[in-house]
Amino acid sequence: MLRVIIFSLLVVSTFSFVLTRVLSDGDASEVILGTDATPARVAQLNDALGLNKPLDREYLDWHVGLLKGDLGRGWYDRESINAKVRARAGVTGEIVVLASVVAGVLSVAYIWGDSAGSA
Amino acid sequence: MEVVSAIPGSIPDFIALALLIILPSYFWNYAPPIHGSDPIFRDLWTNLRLFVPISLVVGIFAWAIAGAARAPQTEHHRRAGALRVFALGMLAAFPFVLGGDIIAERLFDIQGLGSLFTYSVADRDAPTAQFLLFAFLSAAVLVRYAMMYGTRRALSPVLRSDGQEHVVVRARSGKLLVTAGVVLGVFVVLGIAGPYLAPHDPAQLDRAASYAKPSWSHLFGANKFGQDTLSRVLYGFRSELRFGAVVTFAGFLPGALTGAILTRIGGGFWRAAISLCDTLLGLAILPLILGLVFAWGPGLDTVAYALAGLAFVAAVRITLIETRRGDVTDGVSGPLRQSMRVAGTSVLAELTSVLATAFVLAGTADLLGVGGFGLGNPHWASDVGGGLQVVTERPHLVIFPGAALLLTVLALRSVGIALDHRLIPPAKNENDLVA
Repeated sequence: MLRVIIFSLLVVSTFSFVLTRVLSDGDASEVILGTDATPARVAQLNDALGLNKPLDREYLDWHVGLLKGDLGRGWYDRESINAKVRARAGVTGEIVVLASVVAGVLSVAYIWGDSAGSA
Repeated sequence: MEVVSAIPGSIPDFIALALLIILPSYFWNYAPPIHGSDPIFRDLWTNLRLFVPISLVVGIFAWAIAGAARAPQTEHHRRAGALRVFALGMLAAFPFVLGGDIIAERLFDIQGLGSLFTYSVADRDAPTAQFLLFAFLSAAVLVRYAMMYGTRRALSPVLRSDGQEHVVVRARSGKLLVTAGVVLGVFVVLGIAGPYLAPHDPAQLDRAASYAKPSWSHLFGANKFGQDTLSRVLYGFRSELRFGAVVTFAGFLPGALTGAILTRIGGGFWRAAISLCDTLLGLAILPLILGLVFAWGPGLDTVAYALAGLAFVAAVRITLIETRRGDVTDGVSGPLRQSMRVAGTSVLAELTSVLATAFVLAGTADLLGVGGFGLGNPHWASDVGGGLQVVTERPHLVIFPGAALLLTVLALRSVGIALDHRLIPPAKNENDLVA
């Protein structure tokens, strides 16, 4: 089971990487700076964001970062993603847990109600 | 009861959550946690007062969507204990809970991970979107595996033995099937004839008719831009029909064909394929759509392809199960025609469930601003979204397109439920199913 879980997580992480880094339209620097940016400014930004690296290196770094718990920084605000996630995870966790409990309780009520109805 | 329980799953939860802002604040002065981020331990009572109503709506809708999509499996677990049913309910609902959380956070501007995800997709902030896509999808995968382990893989129903009972055709739910079938028939006729019946051009702007109330010139009233609501509702049938055709012909039918081919390959492979399908269907669909939007940009095509992909996997899974069920029962009691009839009808029931879920998710994606429907392309969910801004003064702008969406999705779900009742008899006991 553990091997299956690890394999599934690897598939999910690769999928996330491919969607956001490989398949996404447009050059990242162009998206951030606009189409009028000078080549020097684009090169500077690519350097700052680590976008000069080859794709396989980026892929490796992404997984190493995940394992170390270092999620990097956002492109716009340059804030640590770890800090943003830490600040916001509690509220999301609360809604998800409460809503899941509601769904579980409804399932029990539904099965019991339906069984009583058909008995 | 199943039809009643399917009602919440027939409305995009964005609409219900939006009404949670508007109606209680209008009538009872209740304010939801707009821009809220207070942790639960700081002020427990205030926190619960703000977040419990939202969690209730998200939970009810997630349960309804998941329940409607997985009704046959629930049927097989009626004999399970309460704790197990509770766990199974949470498991089935969890991917939809994640989707509902994203919608709620975006709508109420709650400072959580869901709103961070949607904003990072909109801003094309790749590192943040990449991690949050991974986090949401892997949370769904982990919870699914944990629950499967805890419930002894109870959600992979695979026939182990014979079971003459499985070919019995029960003759109940006939009225439900006929009623829902008639509604769907009307839906298809309006999809074809709607443009000829519409009194106005649905895209035509008319400032003089802005927010017009129902009258002889505008039977269902007009929206902010003076567009005739009745015409938009009628054209909406065609939009939904086109969307359903893409999901069916680009996703479901190729999936059913693939499943029929795969089932001939072998037992071990067959089980692995079922598990893979279960895992993929357990992924949270809304984060997946947002990930695809990041890659390909917002638009109708992106949402349609994502939902066609979901339909493909669902079709592969149900065909794999039903074809094997046919093989099993065939040798025991059934003529081939009988088992083919059972398999075909079960696959049809799955198609109706997938289409219903696809319509609701497309509406949700549209309301999140990634669906690509717009003023010139009438769509019920986006019209409801526009009407929500003035729902207390102009309820007809929500009621008419909302009723069209609700009736259509409910009819699809009802057909699926009726077909399930007719052709999937409950297992005698849990030994009929093994993982």
